[in-house]
Amino acid sequence: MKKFPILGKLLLPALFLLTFNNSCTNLDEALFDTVTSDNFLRTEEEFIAALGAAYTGLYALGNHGAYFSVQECSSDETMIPTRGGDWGDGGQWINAHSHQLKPTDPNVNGAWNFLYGGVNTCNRLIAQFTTLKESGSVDGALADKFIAELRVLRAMYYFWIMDTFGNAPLVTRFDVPEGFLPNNSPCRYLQIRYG
Amino acid sequence: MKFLHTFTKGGMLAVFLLLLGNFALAQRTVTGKVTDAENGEALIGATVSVVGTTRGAVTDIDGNYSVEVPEGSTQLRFAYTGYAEEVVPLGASNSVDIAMKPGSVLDEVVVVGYGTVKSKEVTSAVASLKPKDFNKGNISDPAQLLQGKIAGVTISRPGSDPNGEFTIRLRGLSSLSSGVSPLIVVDGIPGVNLNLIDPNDIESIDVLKDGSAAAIYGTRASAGVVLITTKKGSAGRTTATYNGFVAFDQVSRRYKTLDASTFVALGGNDLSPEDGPGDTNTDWFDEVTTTGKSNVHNLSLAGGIANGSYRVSFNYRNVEGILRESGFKQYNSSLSFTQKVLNNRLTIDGGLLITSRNQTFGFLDAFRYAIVANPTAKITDPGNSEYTRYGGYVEKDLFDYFNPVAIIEQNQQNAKGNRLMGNARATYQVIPNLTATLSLAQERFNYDYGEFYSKQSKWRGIGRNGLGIQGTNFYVSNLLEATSEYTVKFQETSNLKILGGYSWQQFDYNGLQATAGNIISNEFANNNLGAFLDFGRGLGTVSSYKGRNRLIAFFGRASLNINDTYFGSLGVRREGSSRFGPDNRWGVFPFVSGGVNLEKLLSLNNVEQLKLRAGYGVTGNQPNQNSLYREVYSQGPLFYYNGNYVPSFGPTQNANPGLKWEEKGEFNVGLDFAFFNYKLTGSLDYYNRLTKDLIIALAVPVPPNFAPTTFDNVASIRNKGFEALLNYANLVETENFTWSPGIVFSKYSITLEDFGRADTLAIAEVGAPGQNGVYYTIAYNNAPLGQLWGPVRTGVNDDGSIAYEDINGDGNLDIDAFNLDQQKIGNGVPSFELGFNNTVTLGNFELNFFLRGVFGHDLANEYRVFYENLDPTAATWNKVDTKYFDESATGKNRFNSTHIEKATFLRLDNASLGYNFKLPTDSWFTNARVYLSGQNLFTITGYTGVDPEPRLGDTGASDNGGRFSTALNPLAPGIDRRSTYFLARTYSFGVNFGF
Repeated sequence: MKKFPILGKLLLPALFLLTFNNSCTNLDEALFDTVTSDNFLRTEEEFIAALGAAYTGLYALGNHGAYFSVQECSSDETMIPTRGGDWGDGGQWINAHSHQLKPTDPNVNGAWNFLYGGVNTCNRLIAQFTTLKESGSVDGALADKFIAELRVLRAMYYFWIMDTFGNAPLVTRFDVPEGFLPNNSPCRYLQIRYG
Repeated sequence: MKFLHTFTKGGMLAVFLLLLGNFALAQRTVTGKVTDAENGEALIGATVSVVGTTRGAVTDIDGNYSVEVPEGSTQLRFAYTGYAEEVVPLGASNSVDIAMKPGSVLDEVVVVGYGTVKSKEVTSAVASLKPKDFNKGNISDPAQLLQGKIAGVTISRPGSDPNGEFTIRLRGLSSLSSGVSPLIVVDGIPGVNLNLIDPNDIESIDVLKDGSAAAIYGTRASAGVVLITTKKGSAGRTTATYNGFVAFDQVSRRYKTLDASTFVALGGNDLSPEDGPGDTNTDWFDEVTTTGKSNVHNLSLAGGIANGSYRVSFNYRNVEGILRESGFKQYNSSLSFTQKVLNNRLTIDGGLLITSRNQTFGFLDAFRYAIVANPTAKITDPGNSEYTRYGGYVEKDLFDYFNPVAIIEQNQQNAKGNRLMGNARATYQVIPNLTATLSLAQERFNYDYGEFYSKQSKWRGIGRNGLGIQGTNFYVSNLLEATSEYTVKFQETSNLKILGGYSWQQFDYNGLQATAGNIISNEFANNNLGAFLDFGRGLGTVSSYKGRNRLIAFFGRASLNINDTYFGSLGVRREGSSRFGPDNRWGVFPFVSGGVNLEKLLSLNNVEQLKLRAGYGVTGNQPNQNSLYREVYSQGPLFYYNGNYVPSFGPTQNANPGLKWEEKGEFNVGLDFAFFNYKLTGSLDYYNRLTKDLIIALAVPVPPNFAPTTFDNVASIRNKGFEALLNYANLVETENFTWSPGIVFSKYSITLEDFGRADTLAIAEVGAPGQNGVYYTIAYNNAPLGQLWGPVRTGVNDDGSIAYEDINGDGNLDIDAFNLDQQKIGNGVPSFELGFNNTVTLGNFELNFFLRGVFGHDLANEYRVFYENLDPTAATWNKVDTKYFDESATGKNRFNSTHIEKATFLRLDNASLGYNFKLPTDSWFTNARVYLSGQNLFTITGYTGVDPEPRLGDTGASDNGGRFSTALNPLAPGIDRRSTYFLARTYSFGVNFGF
């Protein structure tokens, strides 16, 4: 058999590599089933889908273990008696019934997260729609309609917050600095509650 | 079994050498016979080569060989896997017989990343197992072959679910992501699923334990690398083998529960009041369990062709578990070939593996409800109109109460999986010391999964008027690897090997799932979802997904061997993943290790090997899902807008372009030794590893963040441990009897140095009934992993309530606050693990038994946490009647210190008694063996629960038809949830024939 020069033999496997050359270090991520901030919020259907996030939070209104439980189990409308160990649940239902809720009771945290989660979604969408409106990429009338709806929804969440926690922080904007911690304001609370 | 060793690389090498031969010189023919020095049996497939030439031969069925020896050659080299290599000087005689001694492990080939080395050259912690070392019995999962056999590798599957996956953990914990398991490499193909391989087709398993060994595989190697070499054909002779066995699974452990009359006497409801008291006494556990029957067959054919070899194998497994309707049928075929072309300079090898598995899962929940179901209830009562809506099964409208027989009989849960891998590899010898290899592989997997719940089933069905789920999933991975190796020999026993390589692997996956209720007819089951009314009503759900990710790597390694005395290895892998942002895709994973064979430097008696080695290596881990570094909008629930239901979309995670590789740096120091003519062999290892930049989902404030979750590299874990392996070949040896024991020992500690939060977090909620908001464990920075945390029970008060200790001494009992009257009450992580292997031969009988123990861990026995005290729930649920059962305790069930039990155990994991027939030389068979084996024959433990096996992660809570998580939470080990499949004892009877 005729002997190839050694260089030729080295080239043979190298050729294999060269055929893959253009993709040989390509690690760009291909997205198929996911939308990101880069390719979302461009059409009216997408605006509506985004708006939906503010409303679908309300599905959790009646969920056991959060706002509903804090509000109703502490009243005469709902009672969760503990039968032996059943429904003991770390004492949280007795605490609710006897108006001795502890900060560690899961319902308290659940209610807080539900309510402020709703407020935050409204604030985020108001900020996003305002930006989109200013940049002209959304019809102004549509944006105003959405923002108005969101303000009403936010007011409703704050009504529930006030009713549940009393003097809680009022945050109505989204462009806050890193590390922002809102304060509550006794005057404002009394003003809202008692006019 | 000897002939199994014929499928060795040695055989192939010999063919290679033989074919390279040049027949021009004067020569003579040397013949002879190779036998085992101990029993005189012929060694089939041993390699005979002429030293200094490329000539060689392989022994035939009778151990005979014939080799052409060129003029001037003076030595013959004999090699056989598991035996000491021998070099014999050639005299004038043309006949050389040799008896080879087993036991020399130093020349055994150990598979390491991208190559093999001789055992004596290994400079890092690598464990190697051959079929003779594997666990015996009814084993369908290759992981089980290794259970307890390798120091530092914990393989755990609590209970005996034939469809259960083994959790493999190497040296503790290396990531907080769920589902982190070792990288599986099959015949050099990384990232392969273990289920592709039938245990019958495995030639050897090597585990790269420390960072310096694993780092050549870079990014997926943090949890270790398991290298599987499958059996191959070899030239010289065609062999056919048949292995088959039948096996029976029986319930090995169960809880004692109250019988009907005791149950009623202690406050239980009598659900069959029309009978006399205690007349209906249903043993629910007995009703949901059965004797599982399995049968397994394997047929293989292997041999040589001109300039090549092949092997084909077919496996059939029909396995049943102890839970009714749980089991699988599996068909597995494999084909492998090697062919040399281009004047033997190009070697092409490849293979095809196909596994098709049909699973029926039964329902694990049937165990749970069988424990608590009311023993006074009948299974069915067709005449009673109260139960008509349940299809005649006796059900009660009670929370978390189900008829366990109805769960199994009315519903179904099954899957079909087809897995296929094809690979081809070309190795070209460019110049004598330089080879270039190109390897291509594709693995495909499609998995159909379905569930169906009858319209009459209280379990998940009746509330939806029947429920069907059907999903299909498709996965494909494509691999291209190119490597090149250059070897410089600068003395007879010194060499330098330089390896360079490139690896490209892409994973694609997509799937579709539909769920709908309101079935027109049960007859459709989950096979015609379109006929379900839910879709017309907008209640049926359909989801689909598609994704892709890619890994690309460049790697290199230099290995040096000086006079078989000093060894060193140095290398790096630079690897990139598409799962990171553009600035952080590439990671660098270096490694270095070295060793010195002290026996060459010191003059020691009876010491064949004393090697000190040390290494350091960095490995990585990528996130277990795509796009974690991006801001992603995900689909939420539907909402009603302008007369239509519209899916809502909102941000679910914030962008974090800085997200990068998790990195594990590991230092390992070890000692390998062989004493007394290789009779006593073993190794010791110590390691210290820090895994940092672990990725977890951080809770972040909104605003300023869009979403409440950001993935970031924040946590770190430190693992330290010690491992020992000790084998003594023929510790006791008489004419007819030998006993060879071996010990595997490992000990480790895991510290969660930082878990990304400054506070203490209660985790692993106990759950319903009655223990929501109650937790098993807590996590905080610098905490040892696995602390079980709760109140301390001091006794029972006069009124039957439970007395607890006032731990903080403030006069108030606040047992529900982890920082007040709770403390550490148990430890879920074992202090050490021990395996004790024994091989005894007596004439033609061979007995192998393996004891495995895990020591020092506790388990929270969840059945006792819920169903022990005679509180008012005793009317509904039966009680577990363990030694802790106390009739005077009528206070509420609440997790506390008495539910923590020591779960130290020692188990006869498997024992096998085999008989090898002495066959006449003219027999059609080359070997014939029958054996009886038993698995889990006894367990010595004080633990009263299902299985004292350590729980490495937590499935979370589930109640009333919910589902346990399949992703185990690694932060909460030590919880024996009500999700465990009960434990079986297995008896097998099998035969092996070779033709």
